[in-house]
Amino acid sequence: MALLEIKSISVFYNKIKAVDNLTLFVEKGELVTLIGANGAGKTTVLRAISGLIRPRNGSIIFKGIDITRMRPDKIVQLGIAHCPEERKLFPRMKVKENLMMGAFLRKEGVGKTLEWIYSLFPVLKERENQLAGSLSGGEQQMLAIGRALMSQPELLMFDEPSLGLAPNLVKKLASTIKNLNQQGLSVLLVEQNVEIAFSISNRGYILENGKVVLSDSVEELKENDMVRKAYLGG
Amino acid sequence: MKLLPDSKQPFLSKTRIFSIIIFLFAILLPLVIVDDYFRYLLVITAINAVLVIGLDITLGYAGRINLAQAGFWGIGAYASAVASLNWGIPFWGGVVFAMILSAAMAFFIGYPSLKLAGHYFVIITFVFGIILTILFNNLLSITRGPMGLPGIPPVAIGHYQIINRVPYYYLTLFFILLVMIFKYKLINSRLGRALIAIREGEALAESIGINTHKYKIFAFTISAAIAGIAGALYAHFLSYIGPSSFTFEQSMELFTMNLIGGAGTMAGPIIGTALLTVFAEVARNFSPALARIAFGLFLVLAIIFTPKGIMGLIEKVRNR
Ligand SMILES: Nc1ncnc2c1ncn2[C@@H]1O[C@H](COP(=O)(O)OP(=O)(O)OP(=O)(O)O)[C@@H](O)[C@H]1O
Ligand SMILES: [Mg+2]
Repeated sequence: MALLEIKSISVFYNKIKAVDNLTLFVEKGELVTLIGANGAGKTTVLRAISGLIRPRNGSIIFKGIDITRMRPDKIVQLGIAHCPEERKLFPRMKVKENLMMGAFLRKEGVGKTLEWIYSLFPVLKERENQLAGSLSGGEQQMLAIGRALMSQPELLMFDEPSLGLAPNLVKKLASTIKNLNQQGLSVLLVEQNVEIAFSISNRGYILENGKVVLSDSVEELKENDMVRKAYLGG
Repeated sequence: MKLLPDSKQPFLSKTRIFSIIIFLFAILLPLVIVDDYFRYLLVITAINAVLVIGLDITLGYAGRINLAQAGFWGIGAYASAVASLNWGIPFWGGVVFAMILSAAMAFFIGYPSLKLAGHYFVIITFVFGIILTILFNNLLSITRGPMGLPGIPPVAIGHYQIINRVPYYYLTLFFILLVMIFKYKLINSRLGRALIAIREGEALAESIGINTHKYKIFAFTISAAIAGIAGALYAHFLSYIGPSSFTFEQSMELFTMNLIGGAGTMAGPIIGTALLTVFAEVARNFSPALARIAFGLFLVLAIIFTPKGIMGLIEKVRNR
């Protein structure tokens, strides 16, 4: 059984259908990307997995447990962390305080995880007493990832982490994500930067108007005419 | 600026020395103030301080505007008054009963309304406060309506009855101390961190696994329980209570005191209460309408200029 299994969920904002009968899975240790244009429903899918919005029908299974109607804190506790698209930090809290907030539900071993995160992102250690809002865009992104890792997730979901970052930073970020994945973390990556997402992912889903129109291994997707035209610029 | 409290503080930190000085000052105050009316005012200020310290947990920490604090104060006052008048329960039991009743009402109101967006909560607490005023006026068999409840017995410690104002002031000060210590512990706990996270970004707090609904209910319920304490103190101080004390206007004044002093700080509620209670009393003797207008003006000024009130200004000056 896959680590995460989404079985034909539909999600509505009042009358607007944002996600339409979507099915998706992530195997343990996989890096899966979810691609789509603005408004395709990517963020909504992640919010549904996190329990921040309830699907109207369908089910979401994580580690064999039905989490479709579970509270967000229970879902975090089960091992899913979410790096949201916007407002990903507490800007008026210090860097370290932001990290500690990520471990809110944990009781033990927090110090060790913090050391590990500081070793991943030494700049966060340097700036641990600085306000999160005063960090640069790239540093903020690292802090958001660090904060998400503080909950010791098995599945980490990123919502457009490359947004607003300079190209060299995007590359660095991608290799960081790949690195985490190679250490055993399963990843669901929402991206509009298709090239970078494909460069590190195993499989991909293409989302249009809330529907999965295509899903395959990244190698196959790269060769697909439709994908090349619509997402890879020819 | 400091949002989360430091976990490690030296035993005699600046803040601690500051608190001790303020407290000594508060203890010595009635020795300087000999006028009987001003001593009365002193007790009222102290009771208001209890209310605002309580309010601050919802307003300053959970970041929710709560316009029912005077209503919960009224519930507490009537609860302890009825307990002593009808059932012969002494003040100490009445305080507990007042806290429980106020807290239970807050839970009952908070549970559904704190699921909604913030502005709905403001409206619901506003409406609830008004409903309470109507109930205080109309539940004749319990409250005797506008006639109020006279003859509430004084607080007794053993055989000693606290009738004079100065000892009553010390009694209230004792409760302020208790509530302050409780609040300090609360803010430094997991619950406190959760509340600050909610205030700083509710959606994010939710997504990192904080059960925001639960913690907001906690905060609101605790605020109300503390208002219950203030209610019992008020009833046994005046020995008479009537519905005109526990109004929406009073809730607005408490809100203003909290903002002016500094929401989300330890000393702010006390500073704001002291300044505005005295001001309100003086201004009211002068012209009640003008007092209202002045309060409104203070509120606007507080919102525009100092998001953290007077405590924010002090911090700014200190950090310069
Ligand atoms: N809070 C909301 N209320 C109403 N409609 C919403 C809300 N959030 C999103 N939508 C709608 O749902 C659809 C999917 O939105 P979603 O944010 O999931 O898209 P997305 O793929 O993440 O887009 P983007 O790449 O711009 O972030 C859009 O049509 C959007 O307008
Ligand atoms: Mg999005």
